[in-house]
Amino acid sequence: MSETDNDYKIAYQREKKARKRAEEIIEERNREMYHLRQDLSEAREQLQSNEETLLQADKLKSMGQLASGITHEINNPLAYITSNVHQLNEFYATLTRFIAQQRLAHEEEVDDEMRKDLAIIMEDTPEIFSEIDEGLARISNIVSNVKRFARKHARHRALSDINQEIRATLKLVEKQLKPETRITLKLENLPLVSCNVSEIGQVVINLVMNADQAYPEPGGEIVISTRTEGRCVIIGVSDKGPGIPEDAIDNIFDPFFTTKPVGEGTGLGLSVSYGIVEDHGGKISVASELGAGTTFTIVLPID
Amino acid sequence: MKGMVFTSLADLVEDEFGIAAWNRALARIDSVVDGAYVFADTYPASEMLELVSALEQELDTPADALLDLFGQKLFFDLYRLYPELVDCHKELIPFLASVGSDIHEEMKVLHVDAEVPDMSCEFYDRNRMTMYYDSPRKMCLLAEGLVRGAAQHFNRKIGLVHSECMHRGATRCKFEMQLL
Repeated sequence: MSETDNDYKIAYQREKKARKRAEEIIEERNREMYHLRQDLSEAREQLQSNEETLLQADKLKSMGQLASGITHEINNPLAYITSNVHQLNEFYATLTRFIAQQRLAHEEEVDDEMRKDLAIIMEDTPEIFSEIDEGLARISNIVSNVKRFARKHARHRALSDINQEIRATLKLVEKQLKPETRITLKLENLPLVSCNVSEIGQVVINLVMNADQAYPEPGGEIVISTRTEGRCVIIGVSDKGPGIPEDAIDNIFDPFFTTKPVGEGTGLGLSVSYGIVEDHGGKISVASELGAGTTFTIVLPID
Repeated sequence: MKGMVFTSLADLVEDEFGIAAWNRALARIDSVVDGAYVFADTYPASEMLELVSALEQELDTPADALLDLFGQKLFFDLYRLYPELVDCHKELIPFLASVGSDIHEEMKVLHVDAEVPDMSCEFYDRNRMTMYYDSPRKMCLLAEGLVRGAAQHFNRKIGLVHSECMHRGATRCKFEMQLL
């Protein structure tokens, strides 16, 4: 082999080695690129999710402010209407007695038509007052719930056992559920959480009632779970009902938003729950899949 | 030091002096990769110094002449890779003034492990400047070649005086340059 051939052979071996190394580098870079692309994709998804959460929180905050203003404006006339109706009811009782006395004294002067009218008035008026009272009570209840959604001031809180509260709440709510509904508890040991137990209980009631109502047929299962994650307690309420339609899920925590038929729900349960959880410095979220079910997750800070 | 500097030198020697010369030069040094340099890899800067010394002996050519020649070629290889960094300048002196401040910064972004020399300059006018070079590798002669390569690219003649040099005990090299 001539010297030149040998030189080319050496150069060829060198180039071959370099090519192999270059291929390794390309492979390493491809892998890096793949991981970077994955990280980027995850970061973008996280960003999108954060953005949606922020938008949702912002929207609900605006609604809270609006609701707070409206409830304040409704409360004043409601107070004097309630008071006046009460007063009117008492006046009516006095008037009834007076009319009865007058009728006895002047029976012969009362013609048949007037007697009939008076009988109807006397019979119907208490019912009218009762309906007014009922309506006022409903308005008052709605206003009070809206105020709970909108309020910012924490009520009395104490270190509480969330699992114990869930069990106590279920005893209260059991009779209101379909008799065939099965409740499965998956409660892990939890540290005590500083909260207002009756409010957290109210949230659990709302979610359990909603889960029960989600099943069109009797015999549904509701799973309530608790666990600890970092410095937070996680409460989950799941059903395997028909799920929440995509176009409804963004509005689910909005006050007065309901998927139930007219007259079957005020649409305040979830917004009140949202307000309570936010007020505790926590987060409530929903994940739902059509035909598979829905899970509400509450994250409550331990401290 | 980035692999492209090594592959550029290999191309120069193989093209100008033959494969046998490059083989013999490589045989004189203890290369970490047996001379199988890859553009995108990184190698010890000391290996470049060993190569220059080996070539000086093998080709019987002074290192300064060799580095000057290599610098000019390296400039064109770099221009082929990053034309946008050069083409944004219309004149030689402003381009040279941007090397330490802009181009090396850009290189550090593109190649996080790039070891670039510290370069600063005093920019007097569009025709005259002083450039200071400071690097533990002391490749100031290569820098000189790069300057000449740039002058060729901009089609300008330049007078360059290497008035202070790290190889002569200075803390940094000083290039006084003036367009002719």
